[in-house]
Order: sequence, then structure tokens, then C-alpha cells
Amino acid sequence: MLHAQQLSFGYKPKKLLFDRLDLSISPGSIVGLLGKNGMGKTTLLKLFAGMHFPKNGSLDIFGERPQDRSPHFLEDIYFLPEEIEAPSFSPKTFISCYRRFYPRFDTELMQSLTKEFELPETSNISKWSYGQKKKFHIAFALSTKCRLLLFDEPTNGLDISSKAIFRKIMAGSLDENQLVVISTHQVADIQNLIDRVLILDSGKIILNEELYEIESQYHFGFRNSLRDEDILYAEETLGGYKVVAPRRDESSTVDLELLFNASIQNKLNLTPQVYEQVV
Amino acid sequence: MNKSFSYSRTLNYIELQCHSHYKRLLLAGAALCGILAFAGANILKIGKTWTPSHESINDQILGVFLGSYSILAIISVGNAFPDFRLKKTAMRYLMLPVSNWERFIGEYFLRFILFTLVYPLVFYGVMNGAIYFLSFLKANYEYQFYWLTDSRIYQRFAKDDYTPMLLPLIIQLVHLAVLYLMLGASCFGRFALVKTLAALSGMAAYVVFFGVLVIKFKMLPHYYLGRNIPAFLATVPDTAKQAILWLNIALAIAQALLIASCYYKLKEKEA
Repeated sequence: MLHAQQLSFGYKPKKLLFDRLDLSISPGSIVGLLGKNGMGKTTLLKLFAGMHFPKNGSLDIFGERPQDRSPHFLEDIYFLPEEIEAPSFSPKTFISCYRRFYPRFDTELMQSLTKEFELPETSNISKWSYGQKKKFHIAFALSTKCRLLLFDEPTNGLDISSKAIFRKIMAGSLDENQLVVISTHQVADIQNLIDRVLILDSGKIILNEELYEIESQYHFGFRNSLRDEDILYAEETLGGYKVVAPRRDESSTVDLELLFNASIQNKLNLTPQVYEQVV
Repeated sequence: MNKSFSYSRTLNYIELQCHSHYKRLLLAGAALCGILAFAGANILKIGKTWTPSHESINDQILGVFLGSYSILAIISVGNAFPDFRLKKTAMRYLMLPVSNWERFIGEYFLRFILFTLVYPLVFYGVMNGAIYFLSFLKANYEYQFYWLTDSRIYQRFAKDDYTPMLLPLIIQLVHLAVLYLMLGASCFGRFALVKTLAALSGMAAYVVFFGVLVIKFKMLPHYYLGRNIPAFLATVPDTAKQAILWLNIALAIAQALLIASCYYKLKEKEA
């Protein structure tokens, strides 16, 4: 569904942000896109959305090149930027104007999500708070039923209860043929939501793995001391250490923050999944 | 599905744009009606006092119509693609599932065709309102406002042999100006209209400098003096009809180039 092969991109001709990226993601998953500031998370989302064009290599999404920006392709993709803009519309007018561009738009789902997020029905969207606007756009994005949803820092500006609702509706509103890529620094907000993690660092994808695969190989836990010899990565915390170790028997949930830090320091033996040529 | 053009997508785009910018349109419309009513009432009042002839007053009103139409059409078309002005709105605008042709045709329809259809109606309504207002103030004020469909307005032009030939040329020139303004609106972000008109002034200055100063005073005297006209100059038309035909062809080519340039500018905005 989403294949990048030897993908290179940079804002300046001689300074590449991505250098020969290989990536393959199948539908039916929620991907957490992590990376330090300035590593190109938003840029990668924009490349997927066809808002930037690759300098070299190829990018293929649903069998189309995003840079062609055909209306057919754009009907199947929804990009929610971090900085959102809301026109001076009532929610009803917004939905009525924009839903026509998305053939699979689910009005009932939109209504239920609006209710779930406790959004007002009548007032002008431009007068809403930043968090309310964000919630409205998240609800709209999910209701479009686009096959590819690209969310850039979707939980920024959401209050604590809305973040919980966000996780709940994300898990409950998606179809099997949809792919969601969420770029965020708020790893706690997507902790129990994503099923694949993709980490960008220094122009490369250093990790692209299913969470269950990571869980099957590693144990994320707490140690009082660092006497165990098999600890791969440790971070000092209150009263002890958060550690990553090879999994033996006990299962654990992936600690995304720990995973991210360990990956950045190259402490894990997970190799980035490479593009597989479909013959 | 047609990738480049779909009738329903274009209609959706037009409706969305009308909704998005309706406040601006309403404000502009209200301001326009006020200015027109003021101008119309004054012309009618002054015309009644100084020139008793209806034709003379109607001439003035026709002048106001053409002048105001030109200025407002420049403002309307020069502000096409308003969502490109801000980075936030541009992102949403670019992610809309419409092609560049649909954007172009949608804006062309809204900014030029619709404006050209609606403006005469607004003008007619406001002018009649002004007449009604004056009649109300002055009980004996009687005035018959000619409308653009009234043949009396065109009678004077019909006497001129060149009018039928010049009409396509005038239409093409107007259309060329429209396309040039649309190109400017697709090229520039903020203050697109001002920058477009500044660019036009620059080009005009260049043409004046090169065309008048260089060709007229440096090149042409050489040919005339020598009476040795080069081959390419033999194709230059020597009758008014031929000249107009050549100009029409040149304008048609220029319009095609402007449409292509506008399309590629929109394409460039995507990346």
C-alpha cells in the first residue's frame, strides 16, 4: 500500500533530509512516527500527502505517485497538520461543503464523534478554542474514511479527557483497509494505540517494526539495580532503572519512550524493515 | 473518473469558495452598492441641472458602468486563489481533491464570468434605486434610464465601420487582461494584485523603452531611409483589416500561453 524505495528529499539541493529511505507499510495499522525535532517527521508526512516531491527514488501509495496529486488520490488521503486553520463556518456548513469531496464520507460517524468530543453544533468553528478545532478536524478526518490518514501531532492542544477519547475513537472508528500514520512527540498519547512504530533519525529510518514483534524480542521493565548482565539499555528513574532487556519468559508492554531512546542510541538489534520488491 | 476535470468536483469547489469567502463578498457588495448609488444619484442630479438631454446623462452612466466594471473586475480577478495568501489556508486548499484545471476554471467562473453576469444587474438595480430616490425628493423629476440592451446606446457605434472588426479585438484584450490577472494571482502570495499591476507597469515601461525609443528612433529610420525592406517586414499587414486579424491571432496565442503559465504556476505551488 505504501512503498518508498531509495527515497531522497531535501529542502536544499546539497543537503538531504532523507537519504535513500526504504519503507513498506501495509494497510490496517496505526503507525507511530517518532523522531527528534528537525528529523523530518512532518516532511515525511507531506511527502506521503504529495505536498513535497521526492528528489530521487520512488514513492508509491495505492499504486499512485503522490506527487501527481490526482483528485482520485487526494480523495483517499487526509492530512491533518499540526497548525490547523478553521474557516468561518458552522460545523454543519463545514461538513456539508467538504464531505462532497470524500466519496466514502460517513455522516453518522461524524455526528457520533462530534457528540463524543462534546463539540457545539451551531456556533462558528473559527471562534472555537484550539483544542475544539483540533477535535473537530480529527472527527472529520476519521469520518472521511480515507484509506490513508496522516496526523501531525494530533493530541497537541487536547485536554486530558479528550486524549482518552481520542485513543478510544481511533481504535474504534477505523476500517481494516485504512492506514493511519501519527507523528508525535507525545508518546504517552499513542502508547496503547499504535501497532507499528517508525523511528526517524539522521535521514534514515532506524526502526520500522510491529509492536508485537518488539514485544516478542524485548522485555521492558524496571530494575532496582543494574546487576543483570543482559540489560541492553537503561534509564535511571525514581528508585531504580527502566530497562530494556532481551525477552526470556515474562511478557511486557512496549515503553515507547524507552524504545525511542534505546533506538536512537543504537542499543537494540532491530533492523529497519526494508522494502520488499513485489514481483 | 476523469483525472483532470469533473463537472461535479468543479461545482463543489465553486460552492465551497462561495461559502468560504461569503463575508468578504457581502461586505464588498454592500460597499459597491453604496458607492454606485452615491455616484448615480450625483450624476443624475447634476445631469438634470446642467444637461437636459437624456442621451448625455445616459452617456455618463454608461461611462460609470464601464469604468466601475473595469476597476471591480480587476479587483475581483486579481484576488483569485485567495487561499494561497496564508500558509495555513494554503495547506487545506492544496489538499482538496480537485485538479488544477478545476481550480482554474472554478476561479475563472467565480471571479470573471459570474461577476460579469451579476454586476450589470447590481448596477441596474442601484441606478434605478437612485432614480427612485431622486424622484422621491423632487416630485417633478422624470427620467428614463436606458439599459444596456437598449439599442439607442449602440447606435453611435453602429455608424463606425471599424466597430464590428474591433469588437473581437476588444473582447480578446479584456480576456487577455483577465488571464494576466489570474496568472498574477497564482504567482504571488500576499498583495498579489499590487504585485501583478507593478509587474505590468514594469513590462509597459520596457515596451515603451524598447518599442518606442529603440525601434522607432534607431531601427525603423534605417529601413525607411534605405528603402531596402527585409523579407520579414513584407509580411507586415498593410491594411487595417489585416492588422486587426494579425492582432487577433497574436492575442489568441498570448491567451493560450497565459492559461498554460497559470496551470504550471498552480502546479508549482503544490510542491
